[in-house]
Amino acid sequence: MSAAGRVGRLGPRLTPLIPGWAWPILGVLSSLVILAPLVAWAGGDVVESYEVLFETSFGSVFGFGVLLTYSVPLALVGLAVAVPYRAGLFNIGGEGQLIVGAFAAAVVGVEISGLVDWPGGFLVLLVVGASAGAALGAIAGALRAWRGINEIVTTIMLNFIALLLVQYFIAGSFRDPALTFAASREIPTGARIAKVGSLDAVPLSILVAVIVGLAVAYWAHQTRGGWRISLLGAAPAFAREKGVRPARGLFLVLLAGGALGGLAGATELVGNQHRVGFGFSPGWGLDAVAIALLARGNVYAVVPIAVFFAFLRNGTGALQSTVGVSGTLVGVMTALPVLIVAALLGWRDYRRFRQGRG
Amino acid sequence: MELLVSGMVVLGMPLLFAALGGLIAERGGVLNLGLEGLLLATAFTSALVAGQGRSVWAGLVVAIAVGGALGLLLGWLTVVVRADQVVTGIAFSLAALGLTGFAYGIRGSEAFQVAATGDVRVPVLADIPWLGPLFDQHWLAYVGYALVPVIWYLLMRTGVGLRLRAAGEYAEGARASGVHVVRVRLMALAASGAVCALGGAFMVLADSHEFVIDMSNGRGYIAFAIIILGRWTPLGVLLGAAAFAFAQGLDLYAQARSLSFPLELIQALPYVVALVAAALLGRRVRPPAEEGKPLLLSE
Repeated sequence: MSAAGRVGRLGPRLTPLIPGWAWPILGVLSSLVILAPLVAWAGGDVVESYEVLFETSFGSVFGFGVLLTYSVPLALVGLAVAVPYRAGLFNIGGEGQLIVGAFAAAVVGVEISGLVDWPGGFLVLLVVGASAGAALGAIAGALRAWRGINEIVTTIMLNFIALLLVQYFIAGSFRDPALTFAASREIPTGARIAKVGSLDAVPLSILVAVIVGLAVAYWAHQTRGGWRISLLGAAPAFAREKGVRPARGLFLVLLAGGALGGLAGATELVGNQHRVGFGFSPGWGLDAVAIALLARGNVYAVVPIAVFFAFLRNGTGALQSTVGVSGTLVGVMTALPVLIVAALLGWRDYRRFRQGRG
Repeated sequence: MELLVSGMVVLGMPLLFAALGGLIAERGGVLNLGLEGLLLATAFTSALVAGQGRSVWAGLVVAIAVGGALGLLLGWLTVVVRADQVVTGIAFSLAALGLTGFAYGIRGSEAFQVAATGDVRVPVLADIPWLGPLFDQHWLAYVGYALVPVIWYLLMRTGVGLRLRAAGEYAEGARASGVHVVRVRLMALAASGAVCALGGAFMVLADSHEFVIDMSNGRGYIAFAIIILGRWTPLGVLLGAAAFAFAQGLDLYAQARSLSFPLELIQALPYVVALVAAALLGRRVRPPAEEGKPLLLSE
């Protein structure tokens, strides 16, 4: 596919008919509606399941802390997909960027503990994680920008490479010998971001997600650089006229996406798990694609939608024990709204194209 | 060595079917990122229908029908409704993962146990040293071997294949010369789903004899790397699937012989090779020109 052709037809439009903020709300509502028939199918109590869904996250400080804990990696890796999407690119590589970021941060935290032994030591690990993720994103970016290779395919392949490499290291030379399972050593206490509140449930790392989320959204929507990137996605020919260099833009935007993915992994490491094991990410990278797609290029919407996804994960996890309905329905609740919104938007754009021809 | 070759066939067949299915869609100009979901949904279907000692044949036939129907659904969404191909495929795969897992939980694992039948040993050929295990397999594997030349012939030597490739390379031109692009692409997606269904059915009927949640385990996404490595040709796809199956088969081999070498690195090798090959060949490994674009034709 040619660079100009694909980029020009995907991504955010500059003049939406339905305001951009309405689409995520539509997605969230349809997701909540889907729960009812699924629970009824499984023979569960529909009303009770909605109660459980909300109780789990908002019924106690502990539940709210779990909600926020789930939200942090989802929000950051959601941004990792949303930023390249502004330029019409799909970063499916969140999973790999996340694990590489976490692992690189873990290695530095464990091996060079002197570097992180000060109050802001976690910042070093966040920078290390973001850099590792950026390196991965840069590979996909360079191949896309200067060799014209589809970034979807390269990021998927890089996911597998990254996961296998990290597995190799944590099963081998970086394995914690004190454990019965394969995982890295824990990073030192001084390099962690604390959790507070009852049972130490509320993660302060949520601040990282919120601050980064606001900063990235501000950059994307309010600055000249962000405007040029979205121009690249919406109208590449016009962007070139305005002095945007397409190849460089595509490269940088995938690099930035990779950095955000790596940051997601490092933040999860310092704020929650403290070590990297085989099951470090339960598939956040793909959830992130759904999150970014529901946000439809509105970067301000990414963090709230990530919190909503965390709300679904948290609540549906509790359905098994209370209503007796499997928590796997969360996959349906997150994926079907994306399909519905994509279909509606595709059809709207097509009709507009037809009308444009008169 | 025999063990390795045999393992390669078992591991490689789902990859081969999925990649061949993806190839058909991509040659028609549609990026089918729903392969992972198609594999899962059809594996689920074949186990549900053939489960508890019911007919394996029925399981296969229904799986192919469901694969074709789901392919058509993906086609309707991407070709007729013009929903974004990438978004649709990924969301479809995630939904399939959720729905099959959910339904599996409702029905319970006993409903998905399938009888182990259908191994066919080809006389003479199966006695060839080293390569013999290629001909001592479940009969679905032979369907897989046969599909490679069949799909090549259909794509490259028939009118249907020409129209399909025209729709994938230059939709506007194809339409101008009388090709019904929408219909051709819908057919391509249905065929894509049906071929992929053979992969889903293979995982259940020939390999594990049961359905397990997320049993495709990313193979639908590996198929995309295989299609690139195979440069959008059936024979190339066969070699690509073999390369990935070899890397994964070494795992089984090493376990059986209790060898220890860095398996993860060997498993990562095909991806590295695919990336490096793509980087070196650059624009010469070119996907079909219309791939991934919405169909916007002048009237």
